[in-house]
Amino acid sequence: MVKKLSAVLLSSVLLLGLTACGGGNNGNGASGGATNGSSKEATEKPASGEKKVVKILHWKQENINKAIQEINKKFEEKYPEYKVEYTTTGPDDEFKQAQRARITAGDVDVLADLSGMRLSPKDWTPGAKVPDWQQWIDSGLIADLSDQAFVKNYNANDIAKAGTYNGKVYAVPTGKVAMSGFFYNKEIFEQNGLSVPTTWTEFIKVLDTLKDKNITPIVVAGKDVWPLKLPVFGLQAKILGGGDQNKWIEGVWKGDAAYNDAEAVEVLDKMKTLQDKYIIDGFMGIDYATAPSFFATGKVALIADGTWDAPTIATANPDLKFGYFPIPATEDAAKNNSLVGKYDVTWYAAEKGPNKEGALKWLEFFSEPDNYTAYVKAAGFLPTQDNVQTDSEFIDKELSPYLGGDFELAYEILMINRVNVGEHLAAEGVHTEYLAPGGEFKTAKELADVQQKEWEAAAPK
Amino acid sequence: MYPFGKGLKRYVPFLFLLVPLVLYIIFYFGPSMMTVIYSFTDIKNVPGSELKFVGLQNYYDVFFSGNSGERVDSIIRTLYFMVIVTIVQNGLALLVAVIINQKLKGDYFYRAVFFLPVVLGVAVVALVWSMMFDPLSGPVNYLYNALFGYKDMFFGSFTHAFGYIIFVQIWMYMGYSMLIFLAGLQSVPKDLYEAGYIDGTSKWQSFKNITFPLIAPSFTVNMLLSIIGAMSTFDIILATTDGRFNTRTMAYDVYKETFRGSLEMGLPSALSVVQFLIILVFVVIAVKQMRKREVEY
Amino acid sequence: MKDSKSTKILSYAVVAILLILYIIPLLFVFNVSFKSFTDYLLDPMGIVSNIQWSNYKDAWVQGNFSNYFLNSLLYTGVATVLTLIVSLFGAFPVARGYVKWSGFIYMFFLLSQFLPNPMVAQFKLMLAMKQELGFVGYDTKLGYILLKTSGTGIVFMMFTGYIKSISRELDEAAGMDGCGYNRYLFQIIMPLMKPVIATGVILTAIGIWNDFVGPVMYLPSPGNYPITFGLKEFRGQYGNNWPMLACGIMIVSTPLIILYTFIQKYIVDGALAGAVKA
Repeated sequence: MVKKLSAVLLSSVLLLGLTACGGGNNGNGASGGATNGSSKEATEKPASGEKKVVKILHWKQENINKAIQEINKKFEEKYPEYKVEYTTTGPDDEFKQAQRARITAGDVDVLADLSGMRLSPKDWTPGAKVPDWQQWIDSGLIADLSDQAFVKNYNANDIAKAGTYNGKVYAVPTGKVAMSGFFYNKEIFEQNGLSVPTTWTEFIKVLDTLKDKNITPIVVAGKDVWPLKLPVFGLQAKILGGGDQNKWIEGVWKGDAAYNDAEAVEVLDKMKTLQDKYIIDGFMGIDYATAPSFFATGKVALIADGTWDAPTIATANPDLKFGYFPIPATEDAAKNNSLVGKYDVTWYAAEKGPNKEGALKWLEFFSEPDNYTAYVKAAGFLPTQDNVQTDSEFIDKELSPYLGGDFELAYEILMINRVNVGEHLAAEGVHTEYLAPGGEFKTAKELADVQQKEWEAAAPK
Repeated sequence: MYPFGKGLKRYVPFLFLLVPLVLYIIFYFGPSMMTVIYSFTDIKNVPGSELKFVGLQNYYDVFFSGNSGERVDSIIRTLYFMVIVTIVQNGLALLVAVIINQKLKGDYFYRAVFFLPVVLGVAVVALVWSMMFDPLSGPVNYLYNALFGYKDMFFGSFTHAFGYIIFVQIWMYMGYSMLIFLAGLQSVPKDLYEAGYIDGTSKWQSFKNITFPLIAPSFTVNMLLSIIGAMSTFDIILATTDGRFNTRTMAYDVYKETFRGSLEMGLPSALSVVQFLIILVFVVIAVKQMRKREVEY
Repeated sequence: MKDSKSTKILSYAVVAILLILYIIPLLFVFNVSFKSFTDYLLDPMGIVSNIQWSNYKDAWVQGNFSNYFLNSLLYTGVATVLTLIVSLFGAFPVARGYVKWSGFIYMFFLLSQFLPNPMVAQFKLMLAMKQELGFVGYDTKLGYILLKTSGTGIVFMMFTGYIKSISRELDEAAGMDGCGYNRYLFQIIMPLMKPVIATGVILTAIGIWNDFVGPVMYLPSPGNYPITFGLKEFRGQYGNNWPMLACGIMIVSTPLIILYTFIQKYIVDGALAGAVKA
C-alpha cells in the first residue's frame, strides 16, 4: 500500500495540473451565477405573500443590541408587513467575516460598520489599501441614500465626514465616541487629594502618588490588544506633527516624517512608560469584558477605555462616581485639553439585498428623532442628530468640556495604510503590545525602527 | 471475478461508487482545484468583480511583499509545530499504548480517558484550557506561583503562547495516536513474543526487533495523520489566541487572509497551494522513511 | 512474557501522572459549573460547597441551547449516517477491485486529506447553489449536511482496510446463492463491520458536532445555528463568567460523551487495525 501511496502522491501532482484546466469553466460559471442570482431572488421573495424580512447584521454589544431590539419591535408594530431579522455576531474580526460573507451572498439589507467611511485612499497615497466599503460601493452593492429624506435628520457635517463618498451619501453614522482618555474613580482621587492632571508631568505625579499609596493606577484589557491603542490615540493626536497628525501622516507617505522620527518615538516611549510602571501587572492577560470590573470595584483608579463603555461601568457598579479625562500627552495643558474619537456604528443599506425597500424603511424609522434618541442614550454615544438631548450627566459634564470645536478623529480613522504592511503597523495601529515587558522590544526606538522598515518594505514597487 | 451477476448488473458497484465520487468532486476536489486556478488570478471577494490572470504575482507576493517576513515566520513556526507535535505526540502515544497493552488493571478506563479530549472537540478543549490557563483565576498560575513564585500570561504571552498551544494540541490528540498504536499492538501475534522470551532476549530487544517492525504500519498512519493534522490545524489557534502573540501558522494565515484580511482572494489561494506543496514534501519523505521499516506479516 | 515488578510499578506511575493531567482540567470545569459567579471569583479552585443547579438552567436558556441542540442533532445524525453509507458505497468495490482503476480511485480519495484548502471556491459554490437551486447551498441545513457528508475521509479508509480482512469467499458464496449487490452490502457485509462502523460513527459525529468554523461561513441565520454557537453566545455577552461557560462546556460535550461510552468497547477491537493494515 505504501509503495503505491508515494507513487500516486507524486502522480497526483501531475493530475492537479491536468484537472486544473478542466475545472476552470465550471467555477467561473458558478461565480457568475452568484451575482446574477441575487437580484432574481430579490424580486421573487416579497411575492410569496408572507411578511417581508429585513435582515440586519450587527455585532454584539449588549446595551446597543437591546436598544435596537426595542426599535425593531416598534418597527414591526408600525409596519406589520415587515419582520426584522436582527443577527449579531462576535465583535471585530468575526463581524468583519460575517459582513463580507453576507454582502457577497446578497443576504443582508442593513449592515453596520465599525466606523464611518474611513481610510479611503487619497491622491498622495499611491498603492494604498482600498477599504472594503469603498470596494462595495464601487461594485454597486451599497444603496445610494442621497435622496432619502431621513438623511436630513442628521448633522450635515457628520454626514459629510462619515457618510459621503464621491458626493453621494451612502451611510448613516449613528453616533460619535471619544476614546483617547481614562475613566477615573472620583472617590479615590478625592481621598488622596488628587485632581485631574493636565500635563504629562502632572499625570506621572498622580500615577506615582497612587502607586505610593499601594493603589494600582491603571487597568487596560491587553489580551484583546486593541484597548492598548486608545491612550496611544491621544498621544498620537497631540504629539505627531506637533499636534497635527494629518500633517504627519501625509509626511510619512511623502517621506517627510517617519515611524522612527523623534515624535513617533516619543509616542511609543510614553506608552511604554505607562505599560512598564503604571498599568496593572499581567494586563496582557486581561480581556476586554473583564477589565471594567477591576475599575468598577475600585481595585484600580483608572481604566483606559472608550466613552462607549460608560453605560457598562455604570451598570457594573451603580454607586461608583467616575469621570473621564483625556490623556495629557504633552506639557502644554491647552493642547492636551481635547479628546479624539471616531464615528461608531454606521449603517449601510444593501443595494442588492433581498429587501432594499425594507432596509430604507427601517433606516427611516430608526432616524425618527424619538427612536434615535432612545438609541443614542442607550449606546452612550454623542449624537449625530442635532437637537437631541441625551440627558446624560456623564456626557454633559465629563465629555463636553473636552469636545469644543470640530470633532477630532483618531489616528486609526485617519491613517491610510499600505497594502501588505507588516504586523507592527497592521490594522492602522502602532502596536505597543510588542514593547517589553510583554513583547520582544526592549526600547521604543527598536520597535520604531522595525516599523519604519516595514513601512518602506510595503512601498509600491 | 465479480460474483454478483453479469451484464448490466456488472455496473451496479460503479453506480454506488458514483455517489461518494460526485460528492467529493463537487464539494471538495473541484473547489480545491479552483483554488489552484484562483491563485493565478486577481479574484476578489466582491460579487460582480472581474477576474484577470496575473501569472505568478500572488506567489511573488507571498514571499516578496512588505509583510512576507511574517508569512515566512508562520511557515517556520508551522514546521516547528509539526516536528514537535509529531515527535512528542507519537512518542508519548506509543509509550502509553505499550504500557496499557500489558494488561494493566483498568486499561479500558485509561483508554477512554486519554481519548476523551478528542470527543470533546476543539472548541471545548480550547475553553477548558483557557480556563485552566486564566492568568488571574486559573489553577495553573496558582500552582506556578506556589511552586516557583512565578506567574505566566499563557495565551497572552508573546514568548510562551505558542508553546502552550503545542501542549494543548498534544494533550488533545495523544489519545487518538494511542488508539491506533494499540490497534497495531493487539494484532501482533502473541507467540512471536513467547519465542523471543525463550531465546532470552531482553525486553528492549524484543520491542525493537519484534514489536516495532510489526507495528510499523500503525506508525506510518500515525506519522501521516499528525504531519497532515499539524500542518493544517488552525482551529485551536483561532479558539485560543486568534493568531495574536506570535502564534500564527500557515493554515491560520490562509483562513485569516481568506475571510478577515483584504478582499483579494488570489493571495490566500496561492498560500493554500504553497501549504499543500509543503505538506506533500513531508508526506512523501515520511512515507519513504517508513517504508524501509515495515515488514509484512 | 512475565513483567518484572519494577516495570509494572513504573507503568502505573506513568499512567497515574497522565491521568492527573487528563482528569484534573475536566474535574475543574465540572466543579466550576456548579459555582455561583461570586463564589468563583472568591475561590476559583475550592470544591463547590453551595451547589447551584440553576446554573445549568440559566446557561441552557441564555445560550439558546434548545434550538441549537436540535439543529446539531439533525446535522450530526443525518450527516453521520450519510457519511457511513456513502463511505461503504465507495469502500466495498474499491477494496474488492469490483470497479476499474480501484487502486487509482483509492489514492484519489486519499488525496482529500491534504488537497489545497478549498474554502474560497467552496464558499462561491455554496452561494451559487443557493441562488440557482434555493433549497441547498449557503445558509440551508441541507447544504451544510451535504458539505459535511464525505465518502472519502478517514471512514472510507478504515472501511476499505476492514473489508479487505473479510474473506472474499463470502462474496462468492453469496453470489452463487443469487444474492444481489445491494442486499449483500447492507445485509451481510454491514453487520460484519460493527466495530469499524462504531469507530466511524464516533469519529464522524465528533467532527460535525464540534464544528465551529464551518457554520460561521455556511449557516449565518440564527435559525440554523449549531450547538457550538451557544458557547460563543456566552463569550460575547458575559465575558468571563466562567461558571456559565463551564455549564456550556458540559452541555455541549455531554451528548458525545454518552455516545462514546456506549460505543467505546467496539472501538479498538480490530477496527483501527483495519485502517492500519490497509
